[in-house]
Amino acid sequence: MLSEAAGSWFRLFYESGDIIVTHVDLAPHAQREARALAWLDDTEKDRWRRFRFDRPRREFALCRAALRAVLCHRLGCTNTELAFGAAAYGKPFAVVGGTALPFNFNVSHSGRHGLVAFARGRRLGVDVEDRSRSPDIGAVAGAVFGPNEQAELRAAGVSQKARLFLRLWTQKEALIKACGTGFSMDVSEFELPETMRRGMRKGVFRLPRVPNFVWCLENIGCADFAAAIAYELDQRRALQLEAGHVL
Amino acid sequence: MASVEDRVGSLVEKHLGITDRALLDAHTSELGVNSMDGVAFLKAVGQDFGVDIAPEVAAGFASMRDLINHLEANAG
Repeated sequence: MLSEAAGSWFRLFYESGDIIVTHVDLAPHAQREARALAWLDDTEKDRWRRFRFDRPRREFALCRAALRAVLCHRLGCTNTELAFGAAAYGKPFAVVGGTALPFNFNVSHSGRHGLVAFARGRRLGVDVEDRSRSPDIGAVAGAVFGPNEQAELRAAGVSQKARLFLRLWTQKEALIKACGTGFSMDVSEFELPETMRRGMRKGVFRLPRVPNFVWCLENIGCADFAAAIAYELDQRRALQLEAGHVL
Repeated sequence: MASVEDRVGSLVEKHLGITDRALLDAHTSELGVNSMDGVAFLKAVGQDFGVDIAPEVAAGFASMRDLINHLEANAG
């Protein structure tokens, strides 16, 4: 199945250690969508039918088929053997032969771009925002950013404001998706590390309310879209990084 | 004065581009609204009704009907 799709609508976008991020081309394309839909199981097809508009149907089919292709390749299973369960807040997990597998993944889409991120045995989240869309910064910033983040946005020049906004938004959303809570967590309660706000591509972060878990935040955006991943670090690695070892 | 449902329906149409009022009862997961548009929409609703609706509160709404019920119970 993977070889059938290679060179098609998804491709490897980023890889570091056990972290893999696949880019999905979400441009309207009837043939691709029909092929993607054929890869989904009955439960997924039911979900696809329940979407009320073409865009979310397309996003779901193309991203879910890409997710299936990569998972089958990594897990060494067939498409028909692969199923999905759902954890708290609806976060899905992979199941093969009735057993939940320690292979985490997360999906995000915006405009023409979808990203599917994978990691073995640790939680992760991903967010992508198409730069061709104009974010409503005034409406959103107060609800999701802390005082320092908002002050930095206000101080940013016109040409940098949208870039900074999307950098902060994607990192925060990647974090709450990695935690599995989504927006049931008040994201204005915490601020991103100052180094990341100022443009560092990688940093370590502990949520103030859940300090036992340590997250690596990484800006993986490019010219076409802003994007970030957040993934769980083990304690030993986290302590090394917080002590100043190179990321 | 317009009902809460009419006001929410107008805001849904203006900010999310959804014109079919029957979809006020659809599950939010079926609408495909992205999170950033959702947060901006809540801000607009909050301004229109003079209330704050935090994203973490809205995360518990299964449909626009739940939002309408919340506003009917909480908006002056």
